[in-house]
Amino acid sequence: MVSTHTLRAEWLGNVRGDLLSGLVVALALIPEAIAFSIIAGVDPKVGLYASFSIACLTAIFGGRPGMISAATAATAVLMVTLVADHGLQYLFAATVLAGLLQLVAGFLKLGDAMRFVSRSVMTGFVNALAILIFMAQIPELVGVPSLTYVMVALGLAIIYLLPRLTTAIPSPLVAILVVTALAVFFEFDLRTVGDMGALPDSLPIFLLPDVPPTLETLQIILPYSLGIAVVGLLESLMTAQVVDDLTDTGSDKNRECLGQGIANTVTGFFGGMAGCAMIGQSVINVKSGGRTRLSCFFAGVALLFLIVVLGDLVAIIPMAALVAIMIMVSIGTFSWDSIANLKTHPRRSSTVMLVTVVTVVWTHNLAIGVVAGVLLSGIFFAAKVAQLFAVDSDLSEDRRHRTYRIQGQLFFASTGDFAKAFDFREDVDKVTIDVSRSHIWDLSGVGALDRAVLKFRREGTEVEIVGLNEASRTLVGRLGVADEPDVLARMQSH
Amino acid sequence: MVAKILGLIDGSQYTASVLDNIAFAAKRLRAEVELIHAIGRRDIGSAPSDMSGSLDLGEREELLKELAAHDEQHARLARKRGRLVLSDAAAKLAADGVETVSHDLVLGDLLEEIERRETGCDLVVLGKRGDAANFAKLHLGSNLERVMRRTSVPVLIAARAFRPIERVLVAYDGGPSISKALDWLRVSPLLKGTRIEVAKATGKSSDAELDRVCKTLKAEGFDARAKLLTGDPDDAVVAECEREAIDLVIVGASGHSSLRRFLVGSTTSEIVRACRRPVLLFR
Repeated sequence: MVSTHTLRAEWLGNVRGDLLSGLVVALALIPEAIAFSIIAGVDPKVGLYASFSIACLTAIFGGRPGMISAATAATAVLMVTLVADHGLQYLFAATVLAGLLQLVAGFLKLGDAMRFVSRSVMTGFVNALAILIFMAQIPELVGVPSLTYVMVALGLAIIYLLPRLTTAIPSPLVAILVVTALAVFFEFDLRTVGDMGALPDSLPIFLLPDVPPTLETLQIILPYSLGIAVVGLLESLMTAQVVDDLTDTGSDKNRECLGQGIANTVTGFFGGMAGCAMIGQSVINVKSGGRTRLSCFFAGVALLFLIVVLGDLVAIIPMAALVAIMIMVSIGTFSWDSIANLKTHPRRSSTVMLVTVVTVVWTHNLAIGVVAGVLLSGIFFAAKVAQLFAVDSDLSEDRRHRTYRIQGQLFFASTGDFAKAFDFREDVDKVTIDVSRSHIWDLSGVGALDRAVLKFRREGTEVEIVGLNEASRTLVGRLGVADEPDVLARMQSH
Repeated sequence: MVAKILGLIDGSQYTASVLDNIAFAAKRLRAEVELIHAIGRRDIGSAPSDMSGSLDLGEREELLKELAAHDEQHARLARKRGRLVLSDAAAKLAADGVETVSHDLVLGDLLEEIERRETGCDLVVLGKRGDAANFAKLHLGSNLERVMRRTSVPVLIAARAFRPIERVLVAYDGGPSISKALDWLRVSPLLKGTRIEVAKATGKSSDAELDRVCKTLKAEGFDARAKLLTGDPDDAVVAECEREAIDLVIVGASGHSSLRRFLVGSTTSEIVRACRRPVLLFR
């Protein structure tokens, strides 16, 4: 049962700050939602409806108060080919399915699996995301009237310089107003948001995606849904961590998975595209004083209100203003520290980060990049742990009996060193292998030990293994010691 | 075993009265006192906020540093103040003749801390409103409401001013909580020698149950009498306190229904809110 106290604190703990920050976020969400719709190749209203619906639903059902979720670049880049090849209705169906997959992930408590995503992979993720957002702006900057560049530059100048004068009003909003006013006043011939497709003129309505309910449809949308679900959860959980750190409060990661799932499932039925949490917007929210669920909820409501009321005005905003804002988002999302850190951080961590970035930029799929990063960091970790392995030996007085003492981690990555440590051709009658100070982690380790015993026997040497019980106690898969509370103490006592 | 009183203080205008109540109870119960001051949820209203809505280079790192610095400063001040509040309070109790006083500054949620400490504790004392909810607001402090709902030991809720307790009103509703209160009253040395008025709001002119309750109290040497009130129970009790110069009101947290075991009855909340006397609450 959720206590009324928590409920009140999570919604009404900071009303004034949340309403103000919600408004700032809503104003920033509008250009982003339009821009992300354009990335995905759909009408701006698809992204705007999605942002409204996702923001309100994650505010209610999510696990991280104060985090902003809406239509995002990370998920939008995954939809491009689906929309191009099959059309909008398949996108709605894929959005619903992605939501359902996220719900399953939430029920299976896969949020806990985030711990396998290392810091380097996360840094790679945000850097890749920033690069993707920037790359998505390039079509708007190629083959356009040169006036566009002037307008983008003006927009960026306002965004970055105005906060030095005042932090009371959102500078991106001022940038939009100034650029739009100039374009209208001087009748510049610039592409506008209205040229990019339909804007919402009413509240979203419930509709079933118009796709044939066949297995073939499922085959089409499943790969997209899977990618969207994974990327959505990754960015959401990562953003939750960012907000946790900024506000020094905790969040419920599995509830966040469920919240994202509910939001996407419902959003698909209301004509919206899939989304997830947004790092940049969440930072803006915290910076503007937002802390509770109310901020995200109000951002969604304010967004829809503004867009329905001001729809005609939104249509005349030049794309140049939007591009300026998206460049800002891209710059703000990128982890600039990570470039300076390339020099100081361990080379392997930097490699993981760079591989993640390169894979994403290459495939345009954040999920694949993260998988690559996680795999690589796993391999690096295994390689490192494999070094915690040593063998020494001594010969008895009569030179007839050798004792090998194995120390450290015996598993797939260290079996090579293990095998090399023995001199099978030595002229001794008996060999003792003392494994009591080693840990056998997997079947490869067991196999390596078996093979060593066999080889000695073939040479006619008698073999005795000492301490096998203690060593094999660490066979996690079979005995499940990792779940026992005293496992660490016991391992250290070996 | 020595009785133990847990006192919750926050340095608000109720603290002096809370300490007076504690001193009174500690002497009567021969109890040792444990004072805690909790620094809980951060005051987020004062965090720096910037409506520029723009994202600079390295905004995340920058913002994190800024917020951390802000929290650090506030936390240091809050701790310093908390230690002062506690040591002042302990000194005051010692001056009032309480022998054993310990005190702890707690970082974190007050309720969790109470739950951790309430075993072996005989009485929890706190003020009607906390530091955050000032007197101008008519509602109760949010911590108090949570304590009232969750704490299993008797809770003494201090009013703004303390006066020696001579006349006690028991707001009788026939529920299990108030029966528990009466059982406790009979054996506890806290209110020995006070005049007890067992009040119940009915329209009737006599009530056999009330008379029986008074009889058992008299048997323990209390100067007890039954009092029948009319009207809304909460209004009637509050008015009676004014009229009869009552010094303490005893209430049960919940009424009859066992379904409502986890809630605090609305009558009870209203009495705590409106009555300008300390209230002793039983679950």
